[in-house]
Amino acid sequence: MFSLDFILKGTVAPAVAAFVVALLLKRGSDGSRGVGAVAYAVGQTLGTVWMLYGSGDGFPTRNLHWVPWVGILAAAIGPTAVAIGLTALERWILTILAATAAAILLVPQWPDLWPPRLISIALFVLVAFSVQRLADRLTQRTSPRLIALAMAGTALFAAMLITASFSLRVGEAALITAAALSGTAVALMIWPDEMAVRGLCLPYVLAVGGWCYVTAIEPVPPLIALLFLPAALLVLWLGAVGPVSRWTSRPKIAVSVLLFLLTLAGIGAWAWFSTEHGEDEYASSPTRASSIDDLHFGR
Amino acid sequence: MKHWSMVALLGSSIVGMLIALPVHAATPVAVNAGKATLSPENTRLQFVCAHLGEKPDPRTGTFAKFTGTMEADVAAKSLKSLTLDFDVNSLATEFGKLTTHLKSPDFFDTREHPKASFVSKKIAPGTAAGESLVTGDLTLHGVTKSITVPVKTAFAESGITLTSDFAIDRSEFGMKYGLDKVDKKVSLTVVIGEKNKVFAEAGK
Repeated sequence: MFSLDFILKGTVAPAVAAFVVALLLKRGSDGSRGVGAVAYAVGQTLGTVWMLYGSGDGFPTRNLHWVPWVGILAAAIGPTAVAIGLTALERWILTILAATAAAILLVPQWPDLWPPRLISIALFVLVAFSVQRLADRLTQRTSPRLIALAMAGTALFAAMLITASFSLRVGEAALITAAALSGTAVALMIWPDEMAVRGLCLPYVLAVGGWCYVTAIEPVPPLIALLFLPAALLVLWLGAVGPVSRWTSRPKIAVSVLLFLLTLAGIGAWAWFSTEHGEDEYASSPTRASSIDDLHFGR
Repeated sequence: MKHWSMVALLGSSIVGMLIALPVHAATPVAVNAGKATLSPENTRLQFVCAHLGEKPDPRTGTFAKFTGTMEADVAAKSLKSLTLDFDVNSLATEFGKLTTHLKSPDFFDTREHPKASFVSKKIAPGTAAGESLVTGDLTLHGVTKSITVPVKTAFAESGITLTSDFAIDRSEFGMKYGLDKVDKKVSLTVVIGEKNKVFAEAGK
């Protein structure tokens, strides 16, 4: 499915780069809120520039092309939005500004876009803001390792689902994001850091949410299920509050992981079956012939 | 004995003639004031592309919505021009997932390039009577290239029919997805005088 060239440049390189940057930042600085976001941004930039624009595609010309840059922009704002000196209102304003900039770039100007563009922008900002705030609060109530793992897992799952249900090219681009997040997540699994994970929430929401949004609206009918995917990690709230939160550490984490995986599987099944209108494209065709030259076009 | 041989010969000749007849005989399209209006009602358009490897599994597709104009001098039995405009979003195949995939950025990228067209620039006579070589600009996937296609035309009192089988290289039009898995050669058939065959998944 993926070429060796892509696997090396588009997945291994961003993941390793993100991991190494996170490692270097963690050792060289006391301030940790930027560790995850910067590591992700370096991996994302490397993969995007090397893989996508190394082929001469050039400047972004449509909403799909903006997603990696939206993620990098969010990586610059994310750590600032969780700085300790800021008031809650200032955090909200920064998050809303980043989400609005992302929405303006990602919501297309199609005449048949539904809901209409202004409403779509407002909804995108509302959902991105809500998921970011809830994910940020979640990092203060559960293991940062678990959140980092869930972010990377969701990004990987989204990329595979986009590849399987829509387009390999878009799926590859989403996989670069997933690889950069995965490299960061591995580093944060080894050296867990709540502030680093909090700083990563905004780039996660806008990059993974961005890929899911631009892919969901592309086909007719839209792939609605994809819109719910970036919020899948919020199911971890069930392990952070309520009866499960009172359990001991291991069963609590096990139940949380299970709930998260079940949520991914449910959304994946919904997305997959919503694209099934009939026989699979790789099934035998009624017009099958032993070679293309055997076809006579019905005459 | 001789009688039965004659009957058998006659019978086999009739069966042979029936088999030789085209399944969908083209009905001449009326030419008014030198122009014929083309639509899926009177023009069949089909493209076929196969996978590479041991199981080619050719896939057939069409466009459910297109318009066009053909100019011809019926008295002189000559084709003057041919234009076709396609709504690429109306692309249809036998399989819903394939239709969605073909519309995606991997192939036609219909959101970015919703229109395709063919505009003839030059029509030269072919090697045999009723044959012509039509040279024109094909715009597909945002790329315009000059192509030359052979056409067969038949003139009747009631109008004109045209058939053309040709192939294009999809990679020349920027569709470079899976060149190691899906043939870059796409065969196309245009029959003016037949109703288009639209698949169940058309327009989705």
